[in-house]
Amino acid sequence: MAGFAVVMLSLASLWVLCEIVSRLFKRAAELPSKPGPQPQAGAEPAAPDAAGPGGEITAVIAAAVTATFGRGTVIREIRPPAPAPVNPQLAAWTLQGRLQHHTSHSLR
Amino acid sequence: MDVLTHFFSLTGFGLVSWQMIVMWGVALVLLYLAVYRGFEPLLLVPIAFGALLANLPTKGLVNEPAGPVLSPGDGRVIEWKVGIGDQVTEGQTLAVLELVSASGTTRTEPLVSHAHGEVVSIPVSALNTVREGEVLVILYSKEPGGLYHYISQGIVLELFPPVIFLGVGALTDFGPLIANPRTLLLGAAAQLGVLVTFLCAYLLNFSPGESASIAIIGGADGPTAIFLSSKLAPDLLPAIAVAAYSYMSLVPLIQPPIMRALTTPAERRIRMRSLRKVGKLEKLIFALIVTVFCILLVPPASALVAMLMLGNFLRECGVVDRLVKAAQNEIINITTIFLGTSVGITMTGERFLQPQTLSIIGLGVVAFGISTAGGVLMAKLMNLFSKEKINPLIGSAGVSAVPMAARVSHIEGQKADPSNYLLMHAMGPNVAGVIGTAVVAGFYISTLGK
Repeated sequence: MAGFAVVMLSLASLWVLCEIVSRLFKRAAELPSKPGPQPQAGAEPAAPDAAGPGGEITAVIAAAVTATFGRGTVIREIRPPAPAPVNPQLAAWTLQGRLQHHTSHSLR
Repeated sequence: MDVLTHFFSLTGFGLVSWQMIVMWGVALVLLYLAVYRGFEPLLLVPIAFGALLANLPTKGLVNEPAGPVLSPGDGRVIEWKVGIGDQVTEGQTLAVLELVSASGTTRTEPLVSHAHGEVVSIPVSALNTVREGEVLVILYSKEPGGLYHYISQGIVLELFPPVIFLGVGALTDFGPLIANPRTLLLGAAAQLGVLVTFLCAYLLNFSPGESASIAIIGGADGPTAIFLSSKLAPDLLPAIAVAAYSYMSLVPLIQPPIMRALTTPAERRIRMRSLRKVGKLEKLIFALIVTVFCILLVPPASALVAMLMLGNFLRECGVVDRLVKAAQNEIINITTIFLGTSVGITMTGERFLQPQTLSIIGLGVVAFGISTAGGVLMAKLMNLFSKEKINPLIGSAGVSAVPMAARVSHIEGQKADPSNYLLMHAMGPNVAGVIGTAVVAGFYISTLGK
């Protein structure tokens, strides 16, 4: 069984070497990236991105729309909601969420 | 009538023996399996066709050219039957030798000519002692050797298997293995069948070299099996090659019952975490590490490991596209044709129709089965110590029939849980098995080779 021991030890050693290399790569990837220029005090915060959400969120929204309304539904625009006093619908979402949460508990 | 009789004597009909006719049947069965049943056709078609050619009274196909005739062993020349200037024919007795085996026993053996030609030199006189491989007589003829005498040098000189490994390396993505390197242990454990079968073959009175050559069938790696057999047991090469490639094509039949017997339904449903992405630099470093480490560990496996990793480095570096395409296509395809037919052309009836051929075929199944079990059991053992569980089905993919064994693991996993995708996880041990089999072959060559 010396042969079995040789092959187990050699591939186990390769495993250790691969782990060392992969940890070096992970460490290199985790190194913090160079910080960008700090905003000056009193500067206005950047406006929200008017172009809409990123790729992943768009895909999720599209999937949800398709699941709810079926294929063939066309999404013409996606934009983030404005704050609650400006957009009463946002308050409605929050209200609906609270309602569903409260009605999910069965009270004795 | 005399003309007809004379003509008939010039044809090959009179040279057909019963062994040839039986081997025609064997070749036809292999061709049917390859062409109509899809049994590893890339190798079995050339092997089977070569076997057909080996059992026909060909001329100019396999004959050796005239040249030096070497001593088959240590001993002495008792008597010369020919002299300088004599014309000899293939198969004619040139001398009588007394040979001494390693155990000290002596035997008398005729020295037979391998070709037609004229005796031009006899360097060794009668009653002189000789060593194995020493030139005893030199024959001359204008006729060159047959086509496959020269093509078969690719096996004799151990060229074809490493060149095929160049193509294998160029076709293989080691990413799944690098992303989950503990699956190297599964590839190693799947060599268990090789080592157990070695013991079984040895107990069946095969020599150590023959036992190792038979056992390597369990590695499910055709080029490695041919590489090792041509070094340690060239007479068994045809049977071993046919067994190896036949069983590789039977992986979807042989493995699943063993996998199901050794795992519970809950284990078969284990989901593994998605593999991380492996970058180009990491793959290049992996190729270099494996090359250096494996060659330092088992130098006799250098040819296989070096060509495997050279092919992989060419693939991963991304700057030699033409070379990669050549390795993946033209080089490996040409070599496959010549390797297969050269193996098949050694399948003469006298060699193949022996009782030991059945033993080899039986031991091949044993090797495969134990290798499959070894990989599965290693995965289960690793699960005892590991927080992140491994689906034991991927352990069977350590049998390096790439990518068929990985596909079998995936399909068995899907039967337990249709939404469980094991293919990429199984590719890790699958390609680890290629490295493991090469290491085992190197170990056998270093310990058993001359």
